Amino acid sequence: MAYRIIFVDDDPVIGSIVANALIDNGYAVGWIANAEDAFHVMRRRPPHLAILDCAMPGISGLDLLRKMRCDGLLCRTPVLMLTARLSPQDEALAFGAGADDYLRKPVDLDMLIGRVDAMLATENHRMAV
Amino acid sequence: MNQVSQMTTEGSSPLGLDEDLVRAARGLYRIQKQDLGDIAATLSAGPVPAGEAEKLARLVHNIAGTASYFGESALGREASALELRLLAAECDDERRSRCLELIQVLEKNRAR
Repeated sequence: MAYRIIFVDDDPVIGSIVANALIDNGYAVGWIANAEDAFHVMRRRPPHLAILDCAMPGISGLDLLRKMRCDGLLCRTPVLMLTARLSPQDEALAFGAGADDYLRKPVDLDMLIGRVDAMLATENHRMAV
Repeated sequence: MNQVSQMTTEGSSPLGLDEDLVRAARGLYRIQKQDLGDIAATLSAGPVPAGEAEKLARLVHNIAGTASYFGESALGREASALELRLLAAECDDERRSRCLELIQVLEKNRAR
């Protein structure tokens, strides 16, 4: 059974590129364009991993992450944050909010797949212990 | 050659990405750039309120995150820096200057 990944980003260009790269590497992916919908979708069926864009209109990726970390079903979901911003404070904010990893856009697709593989392997090990 | 620059070649498909998908994404990206230029030109006709600047910064943010996939790394870097300057602008006139700057950046990268 394929790992389920939820990818949340309001930009359809990166949505299609990243989602398809993950699908081509064997993951089952849901791309959702806004954080509010994403939260409800994830609660209905928690993913194995979530990839969130830090900055989105309305509820931001960081706000969604904080909400996930306060939710009983989603608090332990591995989260990888993506952002196009160069500010170093953004990275600190993401980790402070509970992100497990962080990549700057434009995302190297090889690197993204590598990080996702590693995060899921770590999670598998944690669950097995 | 890393995955970001590989996507710039017409017909190349890193990680097995479907060529039709890449072509469609490129087309959408071009539309986004055109829309961005049109909006910046409209806004730069006068002082730019903070709310409008935030909407514009959002569009710049998207371009910053994907430009490199389509051979426009320089535009991506400039867009990323300009997004921050646009959001940091403290008055309507300063935001208008950032809009004019954005138009110049788009024109300069179109000419490349």
